[in-house]
Amino acid sequence: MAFKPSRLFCRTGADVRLFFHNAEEILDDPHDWVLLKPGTEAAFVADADKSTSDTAAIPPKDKDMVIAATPSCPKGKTVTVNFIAPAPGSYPFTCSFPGHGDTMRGTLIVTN
Amino acid sequence: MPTFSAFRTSLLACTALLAVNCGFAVAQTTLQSPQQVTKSLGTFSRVVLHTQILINAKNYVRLPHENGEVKEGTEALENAIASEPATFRAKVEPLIKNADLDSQAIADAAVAHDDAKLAIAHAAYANSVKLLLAAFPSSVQPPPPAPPKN
Repeated sequence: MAFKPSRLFCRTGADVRLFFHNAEEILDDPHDWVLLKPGTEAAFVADADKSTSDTAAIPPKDKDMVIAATPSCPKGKTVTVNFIAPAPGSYPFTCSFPGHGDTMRGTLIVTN
Repeated sequence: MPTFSAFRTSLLACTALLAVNCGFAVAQTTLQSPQQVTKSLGTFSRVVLHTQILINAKNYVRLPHENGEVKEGTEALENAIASEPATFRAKVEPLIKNADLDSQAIADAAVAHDDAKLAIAHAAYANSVKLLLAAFPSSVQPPPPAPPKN
């Protein structure tokens, strides 16, 4: 269970539209794609791991950590998210489903 | 002249060697559905990591859900090995059952909010999965779940 690819690239200010497909074949777990502000990943994943939600959901108290996120995506479905690429830098992304954040993670690299 | 006892010992040794050789032969056998086996085994090993994360977070509500994932993985694995030789299935099926039982023990301990039992049950489940994976050829064993290197 992982994001493929786990590294994404874009230019700052770009109007990004990301398609996220849940290609799980066995399990029914939903997933999402959550782009976070740098340095917030550990706190976000720790809070998500405590969530009792049965779907992928951003912990309410962590909404300020989030730059963009897809809706929760069931097995076999595709969801999208639009956002304007932030300032140049490395931005972590993860899945907010409890227990997934340690393996489902990646980095968006924004360049000039 | 060998005694009956010596003959019996030799016979037992030969039988044991034969059993070992059979086991080795099975382990080297090309499986009918290798990709499905890998994905199914990956479910078991993934739950080892996820349950540890949820135990650390004291997320008792979500832990039983992981047992549901093991059941789904079990069904997928049993389907994936359905066409394998009976000797191989006879070796693997008890290992699957052990993993199932240990996973159920995690769910039960979570419902009881019993941290001590959770730790014991998780260690037992992790060991059961280790033994289960070892029963398969290395070519179909899933990589350990780990974050990608960025």
